[in-house]
Amino acid sequence: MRDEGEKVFPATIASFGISLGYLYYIDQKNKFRAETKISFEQVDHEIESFLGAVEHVKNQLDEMRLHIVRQLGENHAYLVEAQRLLLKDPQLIDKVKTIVSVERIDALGAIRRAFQYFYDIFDRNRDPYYRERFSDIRFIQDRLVQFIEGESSKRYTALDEDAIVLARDMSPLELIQFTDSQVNGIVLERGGKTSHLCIMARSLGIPCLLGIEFPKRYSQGTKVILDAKDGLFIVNPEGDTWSYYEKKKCEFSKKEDELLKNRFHLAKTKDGQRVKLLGNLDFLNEITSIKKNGAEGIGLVRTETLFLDLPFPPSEESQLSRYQKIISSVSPDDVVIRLFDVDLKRLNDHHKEENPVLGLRGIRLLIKFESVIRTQIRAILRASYNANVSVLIPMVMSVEEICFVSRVIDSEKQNLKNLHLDFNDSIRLGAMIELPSAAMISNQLAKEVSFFSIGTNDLIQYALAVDRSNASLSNFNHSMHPAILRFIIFVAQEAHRNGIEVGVCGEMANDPMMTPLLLGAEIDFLSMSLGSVPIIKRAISEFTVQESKHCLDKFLSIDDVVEAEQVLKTWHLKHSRVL
Amino acid sequence: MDTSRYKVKITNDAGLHTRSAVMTVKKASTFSSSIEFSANGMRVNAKSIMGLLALGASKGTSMEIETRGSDQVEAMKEMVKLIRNGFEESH
Repeated sequence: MRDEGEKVFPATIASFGISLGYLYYIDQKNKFRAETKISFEQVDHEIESFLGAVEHVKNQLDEMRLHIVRQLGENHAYLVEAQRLLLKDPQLIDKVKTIVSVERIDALGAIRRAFQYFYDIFDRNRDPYYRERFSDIRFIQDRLVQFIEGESSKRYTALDEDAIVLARDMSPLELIQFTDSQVNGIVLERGGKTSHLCIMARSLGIPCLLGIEFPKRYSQGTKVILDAKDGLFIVNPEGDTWSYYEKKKCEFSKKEDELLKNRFHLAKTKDGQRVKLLGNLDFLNEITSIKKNGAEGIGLVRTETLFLDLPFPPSEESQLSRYQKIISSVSPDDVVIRLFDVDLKRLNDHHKEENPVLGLRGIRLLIKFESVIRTQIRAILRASYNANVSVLIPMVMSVEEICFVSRVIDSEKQNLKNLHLDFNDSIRLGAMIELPSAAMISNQLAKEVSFFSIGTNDLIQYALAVDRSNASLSNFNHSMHPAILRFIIFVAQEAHRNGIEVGVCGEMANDPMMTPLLLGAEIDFLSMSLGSVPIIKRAISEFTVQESKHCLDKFLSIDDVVEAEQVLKTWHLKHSRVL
Repeated sequence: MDTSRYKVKITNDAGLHTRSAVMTVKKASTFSSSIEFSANGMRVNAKSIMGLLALGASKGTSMEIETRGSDQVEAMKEMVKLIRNGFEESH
């Protein structure tokens, strides 16, 4: 295929940054060659080729193990362990060899058939935990196939320096295997901003773009520029574009370094109003980035991603040890631990829901499966002995749900007392405001909790009926919709009227464009991806409270989302240096 | 020598999941005897992680262990110990 001139694709930003490099496709799953019959003489060669692939993938896994231990901790190493054993699996190896020698099928075809044989067995298992092991096994199959195909066609080159990875979708494990060879950037055709991969890309500081539809397949190694600052992906850039971006990238990293210098200062508006900046924590390995970025504590521990490596729900002891690690890393600063926000599928339940986003999830699910919340509350109470910790309830829509959690906390405190175990007697309780219904009754809810945390990702999804994992709906910034700002203003007023604090977590808190609007709404704290703390701190310092209020007023008077975004941009360019 | 047979119940919360399957394969592979687990109407090689995961033995599953070979008694002892200790779950 011949590549023509420069082409620019708009995209959604999932992780900030700028990269220049060369295109590297990682999914070639649809390009499977058909299996071929072989002669008797070829049998040995095909078996050797299979065993060679096994050896090669084994080496890849050894390297991955090192990266995983370094980046995610020893706890996660067993993920690779399992795959190493899969490669050595006597049943698997025998199966492939038999298919090659008895049925006279080439190595590629035999691998596919052998894996299919196991997928069929797994499929009979109704337990979702085991069915999810599919992805681990398929990962091995993909590596083997990729190696053999690469060997036979010689078009496969190892990940070169400056590779910008392009995939339809990608699992966190696939990312990990790349992170030591230079992944400069990631472009996904599918996937939502809040997927695990994007969260991980942000925590590793790899620029990432989403939701690009390519009219055709470009060749491996095509020159590209990934601009995850303005949301552009440029294929076959011209010389001028390339040098412009080289400069822009330099400026960007210089700015980043400069921003990091403010980490020891507290966030204040130009006229001295304090705003608390907290970090979101999804993985244990992010602990080290908290202080580095100057966060004043953790405003949201997403406990459902913290235990991805364990069967769900995790035991009390494994929860206790991870919560303790997190809490001790920032103590005496605040830590807000959100109760498991999962759907029915994640629990070992055979029930399938038509629409899990509107189904039994968050607190609704925990009420139904009381032993899960009891175990979690016990672990949190024990881990937070002598520390400033709050429990945050996800998906709240009624006062009764909060009262339920209060009752569980009280009775588990009594249990721990009876067992003579240390626990936190003064733990605080907060409610996530992420359903429009909760926002509307926030006056009642405020009487039962010490703070609100507005979850803008879900609030946008539920208020605007926009599926956040649907890339075709991500072409404009939904957080700009004036209805969302009105929700936030209303909830903040109701909170303050009742004398409690209100914060914002979710993507909106990460976006410096939105900062003056949130300041104008008198938000007390913001909790965001750790990497965004420095830039938001800068953004806050550029405005006075009065200016922010003006900005908010002006913004609310516009009806059109696209126009609102324009106005906000212009306003920023006039008043601040953050864009 | 006859095949050794013994029935045990899976006691740990997580059942025979990835982590415990890894431990089982590692332990089983140190013996020369053949070691097989059967449960849920399936019989698998305990040295095969694919087999163990396919077995899908959750908490409470009653599982039969069969060992055969020169070190079958020792192998049986170790397998039973591993399962009874709940695969040393917790970390």
